[in-house]
Amino acid sequence: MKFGSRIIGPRLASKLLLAGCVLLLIPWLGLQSLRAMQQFLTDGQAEAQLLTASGIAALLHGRRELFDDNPASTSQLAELPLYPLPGRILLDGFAEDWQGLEQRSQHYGEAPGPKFSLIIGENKQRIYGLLKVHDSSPVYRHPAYLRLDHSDHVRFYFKDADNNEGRLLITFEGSGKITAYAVDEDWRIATPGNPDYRLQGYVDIDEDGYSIEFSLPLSMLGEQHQLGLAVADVDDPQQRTIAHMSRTFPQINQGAYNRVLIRSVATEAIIQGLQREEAQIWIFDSVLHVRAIAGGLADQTEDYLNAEQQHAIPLWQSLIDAILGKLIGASSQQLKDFDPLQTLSRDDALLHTAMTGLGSTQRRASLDGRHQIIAAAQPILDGDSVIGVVLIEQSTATILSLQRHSLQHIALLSLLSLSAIVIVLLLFSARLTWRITRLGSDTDRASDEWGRMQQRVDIRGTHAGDEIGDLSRNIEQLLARLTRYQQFLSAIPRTLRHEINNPLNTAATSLEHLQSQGGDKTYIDSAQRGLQRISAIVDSLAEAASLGDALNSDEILPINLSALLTTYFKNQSRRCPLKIELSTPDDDVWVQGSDIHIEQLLDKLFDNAVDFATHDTRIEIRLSTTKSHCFIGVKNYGPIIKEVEMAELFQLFHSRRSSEHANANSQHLGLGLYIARLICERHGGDLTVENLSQGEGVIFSASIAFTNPNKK
Amino acid sequence: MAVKRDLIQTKRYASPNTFKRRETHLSYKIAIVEDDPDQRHNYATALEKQGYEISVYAERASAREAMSRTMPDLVVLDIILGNEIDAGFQLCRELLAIEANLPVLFLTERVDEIDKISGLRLGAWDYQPKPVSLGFLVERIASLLRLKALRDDPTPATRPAHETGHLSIDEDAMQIHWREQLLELTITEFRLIAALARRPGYPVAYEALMQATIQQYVTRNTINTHMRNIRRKFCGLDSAFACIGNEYGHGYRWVQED
Repeated sequence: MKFGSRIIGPRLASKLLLAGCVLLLIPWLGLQSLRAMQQFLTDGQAEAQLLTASGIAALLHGRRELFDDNPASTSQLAELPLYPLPGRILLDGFAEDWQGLEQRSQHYGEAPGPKFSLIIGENKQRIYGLLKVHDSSPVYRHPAYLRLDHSDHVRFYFKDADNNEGRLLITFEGSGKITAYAVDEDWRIATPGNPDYRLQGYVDIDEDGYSIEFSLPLSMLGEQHQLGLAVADVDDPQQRTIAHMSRTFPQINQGAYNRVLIRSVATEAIIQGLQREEAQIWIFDSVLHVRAIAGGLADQTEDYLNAEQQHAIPLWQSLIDAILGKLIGASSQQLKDFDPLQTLSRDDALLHTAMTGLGSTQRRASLDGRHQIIAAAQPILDGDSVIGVVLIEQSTATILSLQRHSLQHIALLSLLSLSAIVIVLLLFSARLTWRITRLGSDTDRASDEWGRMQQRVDIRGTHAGDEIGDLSRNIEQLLARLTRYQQFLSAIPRTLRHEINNPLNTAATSLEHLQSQGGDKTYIDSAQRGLQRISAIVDSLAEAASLGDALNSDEILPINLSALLTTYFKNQSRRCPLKIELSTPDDDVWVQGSDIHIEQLLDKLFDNAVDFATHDTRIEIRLSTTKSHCFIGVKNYGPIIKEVEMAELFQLFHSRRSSEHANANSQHLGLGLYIARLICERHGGDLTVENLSQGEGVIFSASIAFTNPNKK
Repeated sequence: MAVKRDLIQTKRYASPNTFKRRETHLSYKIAIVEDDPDQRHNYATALEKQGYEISVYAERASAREAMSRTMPDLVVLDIILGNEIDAGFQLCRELLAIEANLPVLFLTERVDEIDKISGLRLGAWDYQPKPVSLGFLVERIASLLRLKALRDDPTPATRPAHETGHLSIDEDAMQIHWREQLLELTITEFRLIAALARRPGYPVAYEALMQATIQQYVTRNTINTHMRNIRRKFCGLDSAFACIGNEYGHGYRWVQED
């Protein structure tokens, strides 16, 4: 079969693979459902948070006393924020153990008065403070003076537990521990004269001024939590009079000082039991100051693990994490949001909504912008009034990490299943292709290029139960039918010969009787010739049909082809009017074959050449060899063969002889070249023809293989 | 030189006097089994002219029946009789079982090599494909009867055997010996070898060989097939046999041994 004109399209395997790309929808669908699940989970979490917030708010409903220790500020005085401290502060005048909280110091004082900054914090029921005073020329206390106001000093104003006014004065004689004295109303003389050791501290002096770290028990302050500080600056070491004073409160104060913002211990105790690892609970009072906090936002466990495994995670894992993070919006960075320790009040819209009495939820980005935080706020009511707000915040990190794990699973499973499917598809398509190709080549092999069915048609894969198996079986049946039909066809000439021989014999013997009885000789002779022709035709047909069998049964012997050709054409030249030129290689050419059939082949080719040779030309015969074949070229000068005729030339019953060429004594049924071709093929070769380049004649080229395929 | 005379007398198309009555053939009984009435009639007429006593049969059962009662001297058998495609073979087997020396001549339209071999294996003396010339048939039957007479009553050969190297040709008995061993040959094969060996070393053209077979319609292929069979038979006796040479494009020749 020739494949020259076949349209080359995508092969079966590529098509299947292309169709297999639809499978990529699976991970995409998985991602979509994950997103929907994320939304669902987030909503659920917000809902749950709101419920929890309601629960906490319900606990606190009506508990006005928890919010009342900070009575609604009647004064306009600035408040002193009291930060919860993570640990005890070492009183040494240095700010290191404040862990950055000193940045939040509040600044007081205006020129010409001394400028100072103050931060206070709370730890274990003690108030710690860091006071930094800008004073380029501090005047220390003179030990000889009894009066305490003749040097730079710090005044503490407060209301004690009995709501009496308390006054403590700190003065110092250089860097070192400080001593605090309760003083009289004029801040001059210590009364009773002993230092008050409840207030401890340490002063550190440098070129800018001095810093005092101090500490006092929270219980020193009364219920009103009022505390005020004033820094007195003495400039002249001789005069030792107070030049300027700066205060945390206005000079005209009507006995009220700055209120210390203290978180409610009782409230924290209540919500402590509700705290969750990953949720941050905030309680605000009615002016949105933080009253209590519990829990935390960061997912501690995961962070810990992350930190531990950070260096152990291979690059591809982090790459996958990054890709997944991009897909689902999760960040492996640590969460940074409002620090519960450093936040005193919040101003979220959510909280204001809650202050109007409505609970609500909100999703917002964390302060670092990398995380999503779900916040739920519920008002705490006392009767009809809102006394506070419960805020529960939770990051979506848990959900996202859940989602990331799912996504990892999906990705992994998708990858595995996809590769498995692709491999299976490839194998399957390879097998299909192989089977189809095998079927195709089997079918192709079933007949030769002239359309003759082979004796043994072997179609493989006929046991398969699928459609290709059906196809194989159909083709096998079809081929079997074709073979039977061909056998029937090829049996026709022989059957015909059998059948025709009887009437032929009848006619021939009857003619002989006629002859012996002295019938008209002319008619008897022409009848005899007619019978002879019929006989020859039938014989030729039978010979052509059974030539294959004859060739197969022939003895295959080594033949000296050079000698055969020499003898043959020597004999032919005696009877042929044309000149014959034979050229053979110097060495003898030996082939395996049947000599009488090669002789027959030469007969056909030579007869053909002589019949078409122009008068007085020569016939050239040339024997040549290649590695595997030898070629007998028979060249005659005469009319050329038309292109259209070339292909049909070697077919059965094709004759190029016109009626003028045909003569009465020879039959030209178009069998000669057909038989010649068969002989060549049986000898592992082929018969071809081409016109000479100048159009002066024709050359037939018969090839014979050196190794005969029929040789046992 | 009977063979030579035969060759000279026998033309491609038998002359009218070829099968004229010959008194020497009297009293031989010949049975013809042929289902086609025309051919049967033609054979019978031609053989009766030779003075033979002819009985004709159209089918196997009646032929066997009659012949088992009176055995003829020679039987001409067609293979296909009516619907029985192997009737001739069967009849041959049955007759030879009764009379082992009966000369049987198959005359049939079944011209395939395999049928020929089967027929000869059964013990038939000759196998002739149709169409046959009546002259040839007469000649052939005469040869067979002469052979039978020789075998029934072996008398010393009137003519000495013709010797060519290791080849010995006995024209009367139509027998050929190669290196003192008898070759089993059909009459056609005998004639072909005789024609070849007449002038050893000289090529014999296809046309001459065709004449020698005295068959009706002979092609080169027929000659080639005969020659192949003859070579096989010689090689069966002597694997080194190489005396029959092809003269490609012309015919064959008998190659003299060294």
